[in-house]
Amino acid sequence: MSDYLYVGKSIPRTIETDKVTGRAVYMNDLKRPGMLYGKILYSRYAHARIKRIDVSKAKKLQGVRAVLTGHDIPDVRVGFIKDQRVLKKDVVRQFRDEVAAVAAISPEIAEEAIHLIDVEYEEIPAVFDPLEAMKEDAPLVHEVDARGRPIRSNILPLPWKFLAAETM
Amino acid sequence: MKNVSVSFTLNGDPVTAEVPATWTLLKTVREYFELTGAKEGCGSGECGCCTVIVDGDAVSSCLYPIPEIEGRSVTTIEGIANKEGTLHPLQKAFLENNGVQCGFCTSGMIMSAKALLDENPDPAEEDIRTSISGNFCRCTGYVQIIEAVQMAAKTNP
Repeated sequence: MSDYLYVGKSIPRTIETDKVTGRAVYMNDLKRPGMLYGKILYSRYAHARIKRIDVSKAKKLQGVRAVLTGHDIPDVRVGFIKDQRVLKKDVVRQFRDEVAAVAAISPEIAEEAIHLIDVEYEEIPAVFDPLEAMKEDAPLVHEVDARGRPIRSNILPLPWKFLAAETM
Repeated sequence: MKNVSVSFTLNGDPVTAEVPATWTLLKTVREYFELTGAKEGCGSGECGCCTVIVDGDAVSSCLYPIPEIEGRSVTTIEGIANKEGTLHPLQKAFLENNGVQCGFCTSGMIMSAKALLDENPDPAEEDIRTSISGNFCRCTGYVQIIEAVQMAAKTNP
């Protein structure tokens, strides 16, 4: 068998020198003139209706360039089953659902602006366990699907067939 | 917010920094001195990405209050190659043993290993494992990192 150039050889990777010297630039290492810093306001409840979002104080804070809520953006849905809005304006369905976004001239000012956003929630029953979620009377995580059709169960009829091995 | 002025040695050079008194050593190194090798992985002293050496000890710089650094000696990843740019044996060994993938843990790993080798030039494998036990790596599985430290120990005079 003839000697290969690459097969069977240890080939040095090319970019790691910067990583062992600390020169490699990662996202948080970047600084650009005029750059802004973003922060997200997350939901404080696992399941709640949003009654009101008041960003007026946050917008007035010096150094804040933008405050966005779900009312300011197009109704784009993302996610595997298109169940996520980028910013939530009607219902939050988990802790860490994104409710508002702030852009400011420093991370400290962005953080302060987040604290100035006032959100009124109406908490609704939540479910935290998949077996509980499958029960007939479980709180629905989604009440309508991505096309507005009513959903009656947390169990979603996905259109695939799974072949599973038999368990002994 | 009150500023504090601290004078210390950074990678062999005498320096002075005037920063808010609540800043950590990590923030000072990254923002005031723009040495971004040390990373903030968790901000709570658990992941080891922020590891630097202070007076010979590997420390979590994200928990180190900057006023405490007065008069001390700090070494970061940027300071371990020699002045001509020749890599430290640890840096060479990490490269040769594939101890680096995404590289985010790497500065902290190398600094923890350096603190070990500076004190114990011929460590047993258990000593190496203990020395990096505060440094998380999500990529490599640690084996190549330990082998890199072993290789560096062999070549380090």
